[in-house]
Amino acid sequence: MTVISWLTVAASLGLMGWSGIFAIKNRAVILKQLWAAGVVEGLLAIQLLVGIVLVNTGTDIESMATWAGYATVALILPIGAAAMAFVERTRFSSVIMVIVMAVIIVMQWRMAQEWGLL
Amino acid sequence: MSALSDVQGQLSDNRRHSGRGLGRVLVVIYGILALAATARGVVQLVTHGDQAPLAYGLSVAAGAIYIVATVALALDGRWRPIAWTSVTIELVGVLVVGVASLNTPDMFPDSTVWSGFGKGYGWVPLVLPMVGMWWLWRTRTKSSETIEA
Repeated sequence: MTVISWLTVAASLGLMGWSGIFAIKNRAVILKQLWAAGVVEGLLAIQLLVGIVLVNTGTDIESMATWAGYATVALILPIGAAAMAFVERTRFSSVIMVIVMAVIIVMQWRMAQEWGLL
Repeated sequence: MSALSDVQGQLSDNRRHSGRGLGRVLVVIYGILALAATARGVVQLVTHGDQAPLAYGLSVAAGAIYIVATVALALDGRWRPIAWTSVTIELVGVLVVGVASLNTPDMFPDSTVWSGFGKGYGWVPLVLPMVGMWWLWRTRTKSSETIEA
């Protein structure tokens, strides 16, 4: 896994734990958590950009379409969780944040497995 | 009196809407699965569809059904029968394809979202329709209360 992957996993793990505590305490997602989700989103965007630069500079990525699919879906997830945080003002917005961060961590692991460099 | 009954009515509506509260968690999980299955199926069909057309076609079909279920669960109301139908199709699909993929693996040279009862997706495709059915049943409008209203 790359530095960006590790940073993404660490940030996602942190936000997952934070949101998990909120879910247990019956609290909805707060603005600070949305900023944290923004950090995860930024890291995912950097990861996608690095991938695009690598491909354009001649690095051969096996199954490029699948990789692009993973990177794009991962990018959509924090946005979806943030949107849900606005419409669902109960503990379930925190549960959704936990699930989304867990999915991002699994996707990072899968991406590292399939495309070690990215 | 009217303000109090309005609040009570809203609370009651919230409890019964399939796409609110816990229902939103379900909608998000369905949405993620819809994205994953559709994206994977489309990429596989476009890049090497001739290798396992049945498996890849099934993945796209499963993705489409997950999209319908996501929308129907989120909107509720007149969409509720569609939610019931799509969730039932998912359960039947994962059971039939699960059995077929184990008994006749030659038919499935590559895995689909429903192969091995959704093993590749942590068995979420098997559990999710059951949870969806439970949730739709739990949030149903009771006929006696409909008459009362």
